Amino acid sequence: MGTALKIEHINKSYGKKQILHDVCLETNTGEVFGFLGPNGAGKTTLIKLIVGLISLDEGTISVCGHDVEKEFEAAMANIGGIVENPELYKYMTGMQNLKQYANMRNGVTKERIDEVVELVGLTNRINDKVGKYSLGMRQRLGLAQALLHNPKVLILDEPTNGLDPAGIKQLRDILKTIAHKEDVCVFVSSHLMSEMELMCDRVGIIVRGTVKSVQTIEEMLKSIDTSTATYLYKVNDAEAAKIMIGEKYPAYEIACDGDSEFKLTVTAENANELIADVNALMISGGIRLYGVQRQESRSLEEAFIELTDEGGTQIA
Amino acid sequence: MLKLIKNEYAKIFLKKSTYIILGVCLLLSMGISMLIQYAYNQIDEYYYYGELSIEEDMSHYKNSEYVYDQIYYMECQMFIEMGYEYFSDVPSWVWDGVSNALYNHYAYVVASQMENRESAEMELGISLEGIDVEYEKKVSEEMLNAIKAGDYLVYNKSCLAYFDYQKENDLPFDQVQYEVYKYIVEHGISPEADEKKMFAVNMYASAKANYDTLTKQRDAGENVTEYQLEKEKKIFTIYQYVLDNNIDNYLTETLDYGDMYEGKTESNTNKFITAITSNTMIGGMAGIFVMIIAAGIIANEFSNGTIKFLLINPVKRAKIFWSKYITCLFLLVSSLAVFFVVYFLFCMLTCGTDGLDGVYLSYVDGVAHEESIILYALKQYALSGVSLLTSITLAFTISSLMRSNAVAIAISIVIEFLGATITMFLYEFGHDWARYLVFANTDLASISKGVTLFPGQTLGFALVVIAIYMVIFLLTAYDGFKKKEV
Repeated sequence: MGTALKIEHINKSYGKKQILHDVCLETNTGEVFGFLGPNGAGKTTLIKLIVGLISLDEGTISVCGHDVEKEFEAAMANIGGIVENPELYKYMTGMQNLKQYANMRNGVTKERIDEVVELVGLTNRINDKVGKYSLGMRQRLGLAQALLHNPKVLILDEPTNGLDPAGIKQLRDILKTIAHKEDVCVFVSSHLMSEMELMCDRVGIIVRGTVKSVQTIEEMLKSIDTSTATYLYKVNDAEAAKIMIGEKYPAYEIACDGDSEFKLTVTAENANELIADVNALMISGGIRLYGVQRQESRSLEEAFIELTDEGGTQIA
Repeated sequence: MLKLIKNEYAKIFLKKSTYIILGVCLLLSMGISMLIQYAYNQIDEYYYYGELSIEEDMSHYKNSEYVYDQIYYMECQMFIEMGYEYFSDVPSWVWDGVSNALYNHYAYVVASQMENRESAEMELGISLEGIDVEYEKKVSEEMLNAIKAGDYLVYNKSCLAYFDYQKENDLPFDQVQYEVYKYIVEHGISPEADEKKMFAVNMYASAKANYDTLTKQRDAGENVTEYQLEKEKKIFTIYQYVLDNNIDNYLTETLDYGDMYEGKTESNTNKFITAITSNTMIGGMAGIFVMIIAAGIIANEFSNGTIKFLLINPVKRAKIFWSKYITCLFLLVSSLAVFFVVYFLFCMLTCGTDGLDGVYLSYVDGVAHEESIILYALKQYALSGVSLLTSITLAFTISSLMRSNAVAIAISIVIEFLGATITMFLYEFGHDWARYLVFANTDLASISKGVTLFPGQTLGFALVVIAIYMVIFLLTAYDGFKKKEV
């Protein structure tokens, strides 16, 4: 374990529009780091800054201790990546493409190329023209390209794009193996929490150019409120029920949802008993109870949407 | 760096379109060369007289009062008598011989017999004062007999004897022809066997005669410039060299220093030499091929999106930039070589291998210099490469500034074709500053011979202007590429 990426106080604007606001992040080798954010949050911009495709307005980025701007070659020697779509030379075969990149990096042997091709599962099609590849195959070739020189940091921009479910599982396994066995920092961006949940050790969430939180998956799961349980009631008069319950159990949280529905939240511990009491109270109070249903507890996905949703959902 | 250049080569030559463009450029250059040759051959066919037209001419001349027409009638008669059916059949030396004999001698005879002698004298611009008519007749018959017998040397001897007679008697005579006859008689050249040599003799003799005349005039205190003398000396020195060394196939410049005309080359029309030295399209098409590649070499990476994968490698942008430029330069040199070799083989195929041993003759410090025609053609070709270097650097610059390869290629080619025209326009409208434009300086082949659009442009000036533009182009391209946000 060591520091892989160190991103400090980064600002970046395109023209007058500021894309990133004072972004700080630190990732370690040996972990899969998920970089999560809705479309247009600045994920790709940050990745482009890390690999030096665009220049920083303010702040510093270092890769394994090498500053990206001052020691570009040393920093890049430790990075492999795919930025946006895997656009390769279509008129070349997969192998010819890989040779292009092998020529630009130090110490990539013929054996290493074959090894990587095998790893991403392209051995059968590596001598076909890339123009004939599907998006998933190009994604794999892009990954092979990124892995060629055994980088310490692997940066992948939405790598599951275009992969079939089997391919996604395979990729997940490859990335986990690389990170945990070969002590590599895998930095994966995505806008799908469900995907991150299965793949990542830690997740950073970016919303409109600002990093909102950086947590391990365990921490995130813990932080989700599981101490309460929510039930959806269908009754003939929601308002009357609310008043009735409020009088007897002022600690319970009640939210009316129309005339005939309301949600009741109680502590998760012995919730069944508490609900039975409430039901008895209502029936005895003359309220007609049509149905009660327990609501699922919040998933990470919901937590993520809640976190990124504030301020409306319009795509600017 | 070498590996990067290798990469660029792979990117260019793994693409099928590269070969298509190359093929089209090669075909175009060869095709244009063939058209030029075809056109030359067409021009030759203009000099054709039919049987009827000659008969018609003769019947017209027969009844004419003019001395010239009568001489011409006799000339026609003579050719028919000698067995030539049409004028186009008559070898040039026979034609010259008969014309000279008839003009120089029959003229006097006819004129002296005519009633109105004065008008004949006026028409011919000669004086019959003190002319021995009998002698004239005798000499002319001698000459014509020699011609009819096909012995040009004998004819020349009698011509020379006649000129000597005129010289002795202080009669006006043709200085140039005198030199020609003298040379032929002294060197025993037979024109029927060696028409090429006759051309050189004529060139030599006329330049020599002009030189002698000019020298005499100068000595007599007339206003003769050093330049006039030098020009004649240049011509006769070169042709003397041709004659002394029995050179068969050659090319030489009889261009005047500072002339506004295109460099006129003269050879004894060896087809191979003409073809190999006159086709300026070869370099041009090689240039267009490399320009298309150079205009795409950076822009292609952007339009295909591959630029991102290219730039995330542990290689500085500067290195990628320069390796791309060096690739263009290598490609220019190698395609110039390929185009030259292909064209060379093409010339050998279509024009024969006669001119392979040909030489280029130049005049340096009063002496004639000889170099292989192939080497000369190569040198001219290499000089055109310098102008291509600027075009390619420009295309490369545009490529670096544009994200679309199609736009980059289009702009480069438009500038390439319009540059010279715009410079020309600026010159025509009297904008002298246009001499500082790069297009006014790229035709080094002409500038090195002293043929320039703007007066006083030197090779050194042109090279400095080109160098400055190249630096500006490259800095712009470099800056654009380095700062570009991908």
